[in-house]
Amino acid sequence: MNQSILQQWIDEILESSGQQWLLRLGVVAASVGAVGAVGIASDHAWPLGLFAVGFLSMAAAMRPDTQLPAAIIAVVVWRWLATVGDVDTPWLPAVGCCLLALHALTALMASVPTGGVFTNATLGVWARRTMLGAATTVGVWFAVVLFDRREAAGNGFLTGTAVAVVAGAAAFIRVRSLDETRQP
Amino acid sequence: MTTPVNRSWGASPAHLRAVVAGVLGVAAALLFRVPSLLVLATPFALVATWSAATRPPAGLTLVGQVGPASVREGEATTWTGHLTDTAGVDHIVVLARQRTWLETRPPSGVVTAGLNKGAEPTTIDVPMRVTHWGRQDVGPITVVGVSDWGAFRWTALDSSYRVTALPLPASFDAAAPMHRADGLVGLNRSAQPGDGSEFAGIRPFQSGDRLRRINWPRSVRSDELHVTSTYADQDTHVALFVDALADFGESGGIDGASSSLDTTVRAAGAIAEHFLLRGDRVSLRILDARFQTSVPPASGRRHLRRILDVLATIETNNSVRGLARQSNAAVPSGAMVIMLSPLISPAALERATTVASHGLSVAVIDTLPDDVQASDDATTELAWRIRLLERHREVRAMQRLGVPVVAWQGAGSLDPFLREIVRRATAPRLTRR
Repeated sequence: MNQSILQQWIDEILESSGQQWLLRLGVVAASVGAVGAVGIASDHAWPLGLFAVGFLSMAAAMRPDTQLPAAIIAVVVWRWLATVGDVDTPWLPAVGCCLLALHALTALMASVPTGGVFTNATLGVWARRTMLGAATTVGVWFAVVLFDRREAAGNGFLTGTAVAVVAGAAAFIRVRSLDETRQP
Repeated sequence: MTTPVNRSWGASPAHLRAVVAGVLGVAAALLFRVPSLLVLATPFALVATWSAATRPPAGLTLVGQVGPASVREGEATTWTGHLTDTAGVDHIVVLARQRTWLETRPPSGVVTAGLNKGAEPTTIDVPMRVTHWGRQDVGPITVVGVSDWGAFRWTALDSSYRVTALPLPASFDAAAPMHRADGLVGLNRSAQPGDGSEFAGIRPFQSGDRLRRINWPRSVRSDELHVTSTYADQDTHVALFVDALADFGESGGIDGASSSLDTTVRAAGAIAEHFLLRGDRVSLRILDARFQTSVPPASGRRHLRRILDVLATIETNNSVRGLARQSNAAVPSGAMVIMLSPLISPAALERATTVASHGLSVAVIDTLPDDVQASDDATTELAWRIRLLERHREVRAMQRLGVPVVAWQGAGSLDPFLREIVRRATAPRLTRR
């Protein structure tokens, strides 16, 4: 690391607003909370993962406009599938909500340069949106638990319909996400 | 001038993350029958779908402007952006690039604004305080529109703005009586209103009027301050010579230390303001050897604005060739010449000596700061000390020729000089023709 990069980091730290520090704290808390919830659900402490995710989350908090949050999400999901895998636990929606909070916080922080302060109205809108997403996650978890407890046999038609819906949604998202100037 | 960086809305890394995590997660959960993965991927699928569905249909239209485009040092101007076609926009982020002599509010230069859906047009202001005289570039201003969930962004650059900061004249006043100028004809009063003894009328108080001119009986009767206006008794031509050949010392703007050029420009503005408000004529000549800028003599508040405008355009330039061309310009007889200079360049001293040798009243105001640090280099430091010794000798020689050299001290700086001119007005004078 040369001196200019170090100076850039120092300037960034000094110029950050108090609100940005709070949002960064939220990013770290959400990441560590997700790993902690996985650990509690699996009854296995994972200090190495906690350390790694904590480090990644701090880096993501400083550089939210990167794919570092995606790495955190991948690590947490992999750990859940590897050690828990169970649906019938309230820690599952808790982990999902933590990951949603991580995504929302980094997406919000990425839209403003160092020193920026969001208005309370903007923060309120994002908070309500995130809570709506969290409620949806909890609702899906309830539905999945209900289906899981009924131990219903697999239905090929339903599965195919669901896959078609997902494929349609993916196509819709792709069309809407492409830069219009790149379309033929 | 507004230049859209992205003509349409571009996807952000956050959107890519939500799409990959949501679509792949849900698809994998269904195909591999992993219900817990479905729960974990649900929020991302929701965010990705929501973001795609609420993507703004078209790019924003931004019209930026800076106003006022001309301010005094220390005053504020504002960049204002008018945004239309804001349907689907979650919030707007404006980043004003940091400039040396522009203080933005907030200091980071980052302003955010949440948008009310359907409310158009949206206006965003970035207040800026200009802390140094001169022409100051504003921006470029980066404007970013952000959609729901920060999924899509639209960026534009707004640039090519320039604000003229007029120098804030230093405090100046002269208690000494003015000398009788050649422009006074017998006992007839001047046609120009000004500080004289001939009654002209009673008018409402204006900024700059002297307190002793207040007409108290009329003010008491009308509940409004009125002053007794007079015609100017004298019509003095004050010729200001501003040495812009070099700048010495550190400039800290309106709130910090002043360099030699800062002091020169602010003092010139103060002297011009003082004499113009008295009803005298003031001309200006810049010794910068590049544009050969000069302002012919005139009077009035509009002329003061013209002089301040020219002072604001000063940039240091020490081309000797240009100075030689300029030195041939004549100075009207009867003018009172005031040269403002740090007296480091011999050219400025020679110019003052030449003018004085033609029989004109000349005063030199020394604007060199006391705490000029030449360099850390020992050789340069020694050269600077030698130059200061030479300067001291040249100033002594000039004073022996009858040209007063006074340090700029604000109010009263020119009083000894003005008293000397009045004394000399009745004495015989030897001039070279």
